[in-house]
Amino acid sequence: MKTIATLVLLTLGIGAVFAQSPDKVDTKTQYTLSGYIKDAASAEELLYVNVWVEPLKSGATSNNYGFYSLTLPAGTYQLTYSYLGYQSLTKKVELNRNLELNVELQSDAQTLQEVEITDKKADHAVREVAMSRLEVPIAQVKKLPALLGEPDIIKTIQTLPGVTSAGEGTSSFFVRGGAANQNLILIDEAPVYDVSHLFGIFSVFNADILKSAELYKGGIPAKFGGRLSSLLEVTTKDGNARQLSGAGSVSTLAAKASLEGPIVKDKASFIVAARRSYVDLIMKQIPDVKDNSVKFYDLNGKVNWKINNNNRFFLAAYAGRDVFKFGDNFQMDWGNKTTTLRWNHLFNERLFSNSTLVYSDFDYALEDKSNLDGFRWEANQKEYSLKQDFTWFPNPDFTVQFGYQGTYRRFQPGDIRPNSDNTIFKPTVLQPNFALEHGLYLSAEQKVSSRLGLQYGLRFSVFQNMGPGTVFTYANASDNVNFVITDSTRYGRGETIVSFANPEPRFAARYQLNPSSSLKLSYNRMVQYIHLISNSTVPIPFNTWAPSSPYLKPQKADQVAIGYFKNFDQNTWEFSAEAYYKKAQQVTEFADNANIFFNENIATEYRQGDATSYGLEFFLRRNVGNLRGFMSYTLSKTDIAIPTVNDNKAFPANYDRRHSFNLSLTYELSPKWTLGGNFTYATGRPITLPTGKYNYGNYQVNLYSERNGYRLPDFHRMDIAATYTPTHKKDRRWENTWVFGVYNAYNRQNPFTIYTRTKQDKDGKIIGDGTEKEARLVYLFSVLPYATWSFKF
Amino acid sequence: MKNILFGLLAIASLFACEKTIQLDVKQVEEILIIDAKVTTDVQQHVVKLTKSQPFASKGSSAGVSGAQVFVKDDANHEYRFVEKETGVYVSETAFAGITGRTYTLMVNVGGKTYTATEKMNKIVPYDSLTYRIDEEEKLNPKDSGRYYEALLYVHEPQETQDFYLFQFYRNGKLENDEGQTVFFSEDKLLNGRVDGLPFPIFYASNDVAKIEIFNISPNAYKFYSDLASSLGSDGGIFSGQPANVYTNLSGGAKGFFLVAPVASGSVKIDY
Repeated sequence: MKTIATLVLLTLGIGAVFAQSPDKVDTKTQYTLSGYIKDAASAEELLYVNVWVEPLKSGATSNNYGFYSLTLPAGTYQLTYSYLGYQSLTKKVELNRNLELNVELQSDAQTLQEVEITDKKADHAVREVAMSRLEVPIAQVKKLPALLGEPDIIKTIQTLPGVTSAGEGTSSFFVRGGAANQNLILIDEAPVYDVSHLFGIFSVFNADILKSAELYKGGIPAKFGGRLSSLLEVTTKDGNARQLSGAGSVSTLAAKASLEGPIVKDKASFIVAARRSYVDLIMKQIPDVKDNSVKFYDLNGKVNWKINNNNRFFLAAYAGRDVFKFGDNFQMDWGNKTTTLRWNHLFNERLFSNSTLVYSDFDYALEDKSNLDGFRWEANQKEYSLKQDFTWFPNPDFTVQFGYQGTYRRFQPGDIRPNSDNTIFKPTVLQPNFALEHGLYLSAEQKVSSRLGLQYGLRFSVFQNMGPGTVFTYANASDNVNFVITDSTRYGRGETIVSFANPEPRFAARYQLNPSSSLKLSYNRMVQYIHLISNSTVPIPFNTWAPSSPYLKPQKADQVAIGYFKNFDQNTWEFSAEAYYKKAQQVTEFADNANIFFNENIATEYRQGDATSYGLEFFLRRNVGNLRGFMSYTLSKTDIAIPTVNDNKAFPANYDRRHSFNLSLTYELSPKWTLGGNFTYATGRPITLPTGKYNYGNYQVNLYSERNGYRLPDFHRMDIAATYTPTHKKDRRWENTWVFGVYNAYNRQNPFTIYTRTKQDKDGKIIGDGTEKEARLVYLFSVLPYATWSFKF
Repeated sequence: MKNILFGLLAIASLFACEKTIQLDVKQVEEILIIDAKVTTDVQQHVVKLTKSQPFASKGSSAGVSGAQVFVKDDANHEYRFVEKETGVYVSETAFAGITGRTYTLMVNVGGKTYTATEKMNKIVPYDSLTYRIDEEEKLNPKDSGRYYEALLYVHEPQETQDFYLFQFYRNGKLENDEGQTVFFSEDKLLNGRVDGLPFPIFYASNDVAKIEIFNISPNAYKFYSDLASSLGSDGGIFSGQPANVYTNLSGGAKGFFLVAPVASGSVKIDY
């Protein structure tokens, strides 16, 4: 705790230095123009908006809270605010004092006449220094075909360049050769540990309440750390601060509703949302499965109080849960809970501060209520985090960010309690693990010249695995059968068992070739101190996490990427090509057939090694006009080499796909009708297939010669959708929308997995003498028509 | 974990379809498979030698003839095994494995030697077996007439760490879902009191229900646990990556040399 206190003081101390009268630093003629940029209809802040200053030919971008600050010499300027999907706004400003300028932009959708595209500043992708960062177009996601009619940002993320999935119906995504657990997924700054509902058919994100979603595949800012491969930053809406409004929908398997509105007009607002699946209601009608029940729900809520530009408070919470019941006796359930309390504060016009307290909890439970083997098994992970971030805007060409994040985690990998009188089980609790993680960072964004922009920074991370706890010493920790415990050491509460410290340099550069194209370069080192205990391709909710510890080293990754960015036809088309090389060390894998559940000697199952990934990504996007959408192609390769696994030979990662192509388009036929379509193609993912078999007793045992030595057949699928929005009366705000769609339009039987079994007929009767085996190809979704009705007011 | 897979299947069954496919996998060299067992029963113990087969092959693998097979213990006893039929070797004399002794299997064949060493555990006896009608099953029996369940009563010693393999028989026939299910357990979650745990199979009137409880080694537990994972694998999407089952044999052979005391008992359904 002492370390935390020191770091916090240090951070605040630096903040205080910057907070002290900045005017002393500059000449008298400098003034600051600052404010928030909002949506005109809802007063919702817009993130990452471009602000362009003429005649300076320089600019700024609003931060992830919608705030911008520009310190300029006194004078007269013309400022242009531009944002995707919004009409640009140009303002003339006479800057002769510090000026607070909050700006409101009109959404394209809110304007009746077709807007002519004359916006020459919408070249954000070319101009920003950051690369490998993609914005998920949430408005468009809603018009694209969706599995079972439920729009899902994760399914769209899986189609972005550099991202692969393990198959349809899963919510895991794999970024540039990284495992699913190497993605830091934040909802309003709180990490979500399992984003899947129904084992991945849906994700936890209710598209109706999302404001933005940004995926960072590389060049990750120093502000963020803790995962190797990516950052998915999801921000929910603050709630309409002008008027009460709502939205909802009913789709094939789920329904949702949200309500938002002002508490105090323009000052305070709220948003609440609920979503529930009704698979269970359908299952009740099917005789075969009527004793079982499967359901999930999500609840989101947020309130904010924007006193003025200097002080703004936000409180956001999310809770979601899946509940599966089988017959009368067996139940399993799991879910996430997150809470974020945030305070945005301006020490002055040039020093922005964000203080955040975060709580995140993931837990699961399995319960058997039968008389003889009744038990309840629980596991959970709790995380408390404190973040203090500062942004200092000394001048338009230089921005400094610095801050601290401290996280305390408690991992409870398993707790089994008997729950009936005659049960054969006894109470058994696995030892919980505790850890503290600190990240201190300093980074700067600098415009060296009109062509060259730089972002450089350093994150310094420290991780402490702490007591209370007993740590075993193994004579042979890599022997998971006949391990020998030679010693055990007891650590008291708060005592450090082992600690790790790592500098994490981050660097990015942009060189503008001409107004419409640029070259970019980035390097980042990431360190991940927590490890998912999973040996499947797609993590399941019953996987737990473990801290780095004496037998589990932190995972590290270095990534370099170069990119070419080009906008065509007055920024209506965006093109980018990126190449990356990523080398990860000490990535966590497990011994063959590892026992990862309820194992107090899990340390003997850990195997760590190297992962190498490289690839080439192409992305073409059209953001405006009737035809919108994107096309992506990725050529990539990921190999993993883990000592003792696969006879020490490198093997392709489970999610390695050589080629991946995606096309997602929406076309606005008329104000009433919009068409949407997806096409996806990917090389089949690697799979381990038996090359032989042998008899043992009457068992027919598979014999494998290499891990991931084969591939599933290629994956391809097309989906189509039509969105119908009847003209609504001008005096009424109520708006209906119908989406009709077909998932897997040409009914491709896309391989999900291959398993083997004793040869049997369709009733499960063994064919022959039981010595013959067969391979079964599982495919999930056949052609699936769906309809979704949604409303908003 | 079976319940989890069950859960996944329930979800998958709403949408999933499957079909049998031919695997296009490369031919790999055959390896020697050893299926050997020494128990505390006085009997001529059996060692079976076979070869691995291509995945798609039909019929049992042919036995491997002409091997020299020995079992030695750490008290200077050596038991020679003779080939009774192709690939099936039995000990020349009947003997019983003795608790606390270490047994080493040696197989010489084709110029190569394969060995495995295991220690004989202490026997864990059961207390009693009873039977009763399972009323729920009687209403709608899966196999007509089979609605009796045999019940096991055991006091599991809590002071030792034990691993068990269970084999269930109906009228002398081993019932393990025709080679698709393994019944095994460790004792770390058990409170020691097993009062009337039903066998996993149902019996008809006049059937003889038999159980064998082997107190197995950590090696054997790993073997059976891997075997169960392998048989229940979904190909690695939600379950762990498919991998070869553990073996205690050196020299590149697969299979297992099981050395375990057996407590067996039977009860006749006398209704």
